[in-house]
Order: sequence, then structure tokens, then C-alpha cells
Amino acid sequence: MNSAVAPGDKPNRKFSEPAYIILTGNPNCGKTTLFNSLTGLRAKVGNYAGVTVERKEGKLLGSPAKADFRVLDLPGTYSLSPQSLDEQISRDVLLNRLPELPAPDVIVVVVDASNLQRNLYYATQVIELGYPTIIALNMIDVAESNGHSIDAEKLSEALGVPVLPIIASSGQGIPELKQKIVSTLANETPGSNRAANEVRFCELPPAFAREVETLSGLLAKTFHERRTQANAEALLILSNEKALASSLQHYPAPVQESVNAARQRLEAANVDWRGAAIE
Amino acid sequence: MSTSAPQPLTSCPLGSAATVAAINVSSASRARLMEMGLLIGTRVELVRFAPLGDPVEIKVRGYNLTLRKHEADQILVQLASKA
Repeated sequence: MNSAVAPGDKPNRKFSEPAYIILTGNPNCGKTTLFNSLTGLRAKVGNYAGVTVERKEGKLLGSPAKADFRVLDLPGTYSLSPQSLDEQISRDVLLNRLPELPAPDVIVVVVDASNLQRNLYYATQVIELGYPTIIALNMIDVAESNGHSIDAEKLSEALGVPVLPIIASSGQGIPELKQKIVSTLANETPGSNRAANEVRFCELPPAFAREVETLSGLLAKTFHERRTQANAEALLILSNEKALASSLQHYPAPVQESVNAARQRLEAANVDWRGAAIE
Repeated sequence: MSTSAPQPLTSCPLGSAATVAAINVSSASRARLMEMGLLIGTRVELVRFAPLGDPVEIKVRGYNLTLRKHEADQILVQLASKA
């Protein structure tokens, strides 16, 4: 079963080491409600944005014997370019910047089905990081009562990741989601990269794409990062002032200088680096 | 489509549909607005003003978004012509 492991890759996960399942998504899309039903805990939930401001951890209920599957609940965020401290926590976990936490093993992006367009922007940003990702399409009942029906299969095809419709508040779809999480964990090689099916959801101006490429190479060398994440991260810090400004301690001077130089070149070439990644 | 000149979002009649023509707010807020789906060409609708005129509630891509009046003033829109 494991015969095709590339050199340098570790064999499949031993169930004895802890695996981290990260819940993330826009504010008020039901991450904590889902967290509670996955872990059996009773973290505070509320129908307004900003209830969760720290990360919370719990054991996945019904995980296989001996397995240590931990679910991590994060504050809601609109993008990977943080505007506040709680958004910064989410970004640091997803970009694997915290020394006390390993890289995510599975990311579950909770998407509010009744507000699909805005939620999908963030979902695509997270998918671009290249970790095994599952979309939990939450509140499908609300979307339906608004007169929308969502084709989960088509969405899954378009995004290249599994999409599971759920109603976190009533528990509908939770067993299927759990099963998907466990089977993803069992099949994933820890630290594996998915360079083969790397995804990029936005079209960049050619000059911008070249700068991202260069910077990504520098990041990969500086942090010994997986190339997929380096690409996504290069795009982030190049296109957003806050993304760089909020992590000056993380990026050594050469990286900061090359970001600034790249921005100047783009400005000279009349490419708007501020909005390029969003449009 | 109407070809009238872009006007501040806050000057539209309540309930009228319009498309975004320019977002002249500071670059950080601009990025955040764009991340939330408010792009050039997006359809918006002015929903209402709070009792003291600030903040302003608008409808974007199926959800309601509340902005400071000084931000909404800097968002220029093109009113859709009445069919």
C-alpha cells in the first residue's frame, strides 16, 4: 500500500501521534457549533460575529481507538491578511508559524451556504495553501429557505476538494463529515505536499505572477517550506500591506527588502499590487 | 445601463440598485472591502441609515454590510436605470 512513497516522505501516519484538524472560516459561519458537535464540548456560541477570539482544542468524538485526533477551533476571519489580533491567530495557525503546534493535518473550511460568494473567497485562499482540505457547507437549510439550492458535487469539482453539506446546529451531515475527516487523516502522509495538484484560483497580471514566483523561491529557501505554501504566502505578502506589516518579526530583512523592491517594480510598471490578488 | 456620472453611495435613494464604480477609501480598508466581495462592478443596494445617519447599511452579494458613513461616502456608484 505504501510502496509508492517518494524519497523523503514519511510513511503513513502512525495513529499514536496527535493529528490536528483545523476548523476555519468567515465569522459567524458556525465553526464553534461544528466544533461542539465534533468534540462533545460546550464552547460558547452566539449568532453574531466575534464570539470566538482564541483557539480552542478538543478531542474528536468517535475517532478510532488509540488515535489522537484533535480538533482546533479558530476565530473567524475574512482573509489570510489579518486586520486584528484574533484574525492573526487564525493566520499563524494555518501558516504553521506557532512553535507549539505542528502543521495542520486536515483543514475543514466551514462555509456559510447562505452567504456563499463571500465565504468562498476565503475558502479559495485556504485551499491554495495546499493542505488536505475539506469544505463543510454549513446552514444549507438557511440557504434553501432563502431559495438557493447548492450543488455540492459541482462545487467540489470546481474547487478540487471534497464538499460536504451539513447543518451543524441540528447535527445533520456530521457523521459523514467525521468519516471524511478520519479517512482523509488515514490516507494522508504527514508533511506531504500536493505539488502535483497545486491550485491557484485567481488570474494574475503576468508581471505580478513573475514577482510572486521569485518571492516564493526566496520564501521556500528561507523557511524550508513546502513550495505550495510558499507560493500562496508570496502572493499574500506581496499583495497586502497588512500581511507583511503584521509579521515583520517573522520575515527576515532580505525577505522584507525583496517585497518592497518587487512592489516598487510593479508600481513602476503600473500594476496595482494592492488589488491584484482579489480581482 | 444608464450612463449618468458616478455618485457617492450615500446619495442614492433608499432601496435603489447601483453598481460600484470606484472605491476611494484608504488602502487597508479597501482591501478588506474587496475581500468581503465589494469590487468594482458589484451590484449594491442602499438599505438604510442608522437613526443618526451613521453607520449605513447596504446589501452586497446577498448579505447586509454596515459601513461607516465616511467610508460609504467614498464609494462611488452608478445608479442602474429604471427598467
